[in-house]
Amino acid sequence: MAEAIARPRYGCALHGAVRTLTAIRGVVPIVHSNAGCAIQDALASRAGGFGNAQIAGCAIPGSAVQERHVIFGGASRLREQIKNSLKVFNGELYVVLNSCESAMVGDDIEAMTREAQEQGEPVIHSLLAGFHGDSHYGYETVMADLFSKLPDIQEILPKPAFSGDKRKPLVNILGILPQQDLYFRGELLELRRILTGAGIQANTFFLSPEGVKELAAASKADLTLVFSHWGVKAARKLEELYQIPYQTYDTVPTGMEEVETFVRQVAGVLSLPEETIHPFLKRERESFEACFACIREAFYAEHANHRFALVGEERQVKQYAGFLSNYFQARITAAVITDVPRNADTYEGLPLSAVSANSTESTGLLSKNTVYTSDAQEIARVLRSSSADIVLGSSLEADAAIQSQAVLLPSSWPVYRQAIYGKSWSGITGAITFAEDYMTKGKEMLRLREEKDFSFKRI
Amino acid sequence: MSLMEERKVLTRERRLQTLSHYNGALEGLRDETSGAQILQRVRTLTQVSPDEILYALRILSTIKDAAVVVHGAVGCATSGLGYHEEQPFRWYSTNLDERDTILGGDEKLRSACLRASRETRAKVIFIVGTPVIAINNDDVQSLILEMSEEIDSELIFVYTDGFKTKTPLTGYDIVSHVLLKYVIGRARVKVDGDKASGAGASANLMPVNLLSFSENPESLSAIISIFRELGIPFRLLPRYASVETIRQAGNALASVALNPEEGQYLSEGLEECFQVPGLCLNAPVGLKSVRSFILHIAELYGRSSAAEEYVEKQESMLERELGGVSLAGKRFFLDAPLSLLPGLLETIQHFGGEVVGLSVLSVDMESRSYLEKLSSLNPGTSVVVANGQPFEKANVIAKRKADYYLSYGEEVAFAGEVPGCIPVSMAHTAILGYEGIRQLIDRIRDAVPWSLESPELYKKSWLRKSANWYVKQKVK
Repeated sequence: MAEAIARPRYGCALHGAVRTLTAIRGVVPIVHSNAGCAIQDALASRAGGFGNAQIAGCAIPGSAVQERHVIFGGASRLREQIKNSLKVFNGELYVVLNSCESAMVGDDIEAMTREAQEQGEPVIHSLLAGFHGDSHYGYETVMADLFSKLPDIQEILPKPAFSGDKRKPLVNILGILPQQDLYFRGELLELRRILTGAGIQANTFFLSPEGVKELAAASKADLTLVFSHWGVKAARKLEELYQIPYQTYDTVPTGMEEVETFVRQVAGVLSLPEETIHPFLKRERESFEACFACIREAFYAEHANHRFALVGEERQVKQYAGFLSNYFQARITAAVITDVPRNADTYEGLPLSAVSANSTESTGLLSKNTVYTSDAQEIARVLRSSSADIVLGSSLEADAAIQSQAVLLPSSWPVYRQAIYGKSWSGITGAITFAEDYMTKGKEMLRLREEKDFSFKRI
Repeated sequence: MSLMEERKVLTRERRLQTLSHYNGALEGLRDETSGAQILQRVRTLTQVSPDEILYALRILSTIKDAAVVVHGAVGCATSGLGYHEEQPFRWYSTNLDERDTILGGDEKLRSACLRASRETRAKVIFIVGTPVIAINNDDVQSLILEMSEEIDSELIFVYTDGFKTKTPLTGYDIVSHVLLKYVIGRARVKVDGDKASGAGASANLMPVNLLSFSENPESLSAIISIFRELGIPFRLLPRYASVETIRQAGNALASVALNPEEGQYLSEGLEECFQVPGLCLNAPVGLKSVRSFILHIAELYGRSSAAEEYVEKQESMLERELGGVSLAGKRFFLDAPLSLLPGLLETIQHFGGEVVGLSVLSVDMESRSYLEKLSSLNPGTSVVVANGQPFEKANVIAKRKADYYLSYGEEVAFAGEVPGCIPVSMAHTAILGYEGIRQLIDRIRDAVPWSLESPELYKKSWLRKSANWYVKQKVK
């Protein structure tokens, strides 16, 4: 049974679905709930300076059900809401979402959606009440529903023909959650850059001005790349419906070695010749080494061997742990994984220990020191006993970091007082940014130590 | 029945016949709201908007020495992340799942409250209701009674549900009611010669309760600086107050709401239950209202001449700083609480601007008098009464060719999609006091349009359409 949570950092399933859908241009979610459900998420989404390209916050159409709809049912209200939303909002795809209220009342969302489809309108639905899970569950469910239901309205959607180069292989990218993953845009941009450099086209769904067309084109892809366990459900749906195989990765590749391994592995699956990927990898290595060569002196003088604690989603924790261990010889003193599936003993049939054991050699420590929780108080307890110099976590860990005399490097949701729109800590360019941010924080830590330990400097 | 005997407060619709849906001319709105009854309307197309749960959380999240337990699915507590960024506070979610919606969430609530009390040592734990427990009819009060002996913190149930009222202002009333009944009402210690806050105050002067609900820190700072300058003791509540401060609210010289629409319930409750007179003053927005506000309160403390001097000085300074400003030829659409509109209108018109459209959250039997204070407007001025609903406002802004969309809230980018309109958010601008006039004009003068193309959320046909086909009379 899910326990009460102190300072919950994640929204509900509905919020995950709303975040996912509003990040796809051309999609208009229609929320069948009381007025404030989606606004709960809009208020939280200000952490990190998030907005969306087309629709967000108070712009989202919602049926704003009242007491009479709870007592007598809200299906007719939903019918008129769908009908009128189609008249007013510019969308290529409308997705009806239910909520705790409409699930408890039993409104027939499916019937209302079918009515609109029969009128030739591009409307589908996704059933996920808030109490079914948190925002991760919302993402994985709505993505799976998008792929499984789009064929129902194939004829009505904008033509799904992919406008890219038909000679190049196409991959879908899943498992990077909009807004939930702090650097999701930057990560998708970097992944797309890397794949494009290797001669591969990518459906990212969340970057394109033609998001709906990319959704429709997902069925034409050669491969799906999944970067967290939250993308597996949708990937399996694509495999089931369209026989598109998928590959799962623990992390978004960060740093030259991981990027090279990743590119070679994907190229191998897609049977791309070496001459296609070699020039790109050579250029990337030159850029990477040119930057990292500059770090050496500072590394030896100031930044080797820091102790750090990590708080974040599983993919982030593994990714950052791997990078810091490999490039900075940093030592992990504590790791907290916050995206615990609701059924906490297993996930998708795998015991959690297997999920965490599926890690690279350099992050083998994670399985010994890892705690699975999203509760702010439990996380604070872990951090206070971690003796970390640097805490990579969310702004909710700020107080605990101070109490442990560590500095906080914001790295996971939510982050306060920052605007993040295109930054990433992944790939090659992201690895350089990560190194910069980590070393800047390391300098801050050293300065604080000096102020404390070297008071003679102030005389 | 006295207020203190009521278990919970009525919704604004039942208490004040609040109208939350209207789109038409000012003249028509005055007609509809002038009689003994205000007919309700419904919308057949809506966008999501804040509800009373969010408004309640906005207040509760700022009360010191308190903790909040949101009794519902985890998503009902998500806004805590946003409120926490503004003002750190301690909150929990009972994280109800599907099983709890069937079998009840009492055990989770019990354990959440025990945990909150143990970890935070809060004086008060506010339990916030959500749609799930309202539909399930969870008996939170019985649980509170059961737990009263085993828990140090006082447990108070805040009767929100998310769907019984269309106006989120009911959330402020609900919070006001629980504070009156359970926090102020149960305070046993009567403080004589209350310790006043504010510089220069005599120790034996009782303060005035300054009731604040939605004012931003910039506006509060503008008003507080006036009180301190004049040496008037005040007590700010309920926002940013400690539990102890709120308990002392029954010992005050008077109460005044910075926004009467929001604070009237608390002010009337303090008068009815604790004999603290409530001052019915206009919100201190615009020169006339600011002057009147200051002079009225100063009079209570025998500081009238100092206040007159202060007002004269401030008005001269403003005249010198802003005398050359002209908004002539500029057309404005104002989106703000009704009680603030007369002052905003006065300010815009003072500098030569023209107001071509308005939007207010609601109109009711009490606030309708503010419509008469808008007499300088053309009776045909477009008015939208709505909680949010930017699609309607976009329509009116386009039709009225407004140059500026001036909003009390944060979400203004939609107005930039209308050709020729520059959105101006007052969310982080003072609008109260003299500083409010200064900052407001500065914001307008500095406002620039977005230089890149914006995606078009609304169909072009919508922006040309008649906007009120979906706002219907409620069928009985």
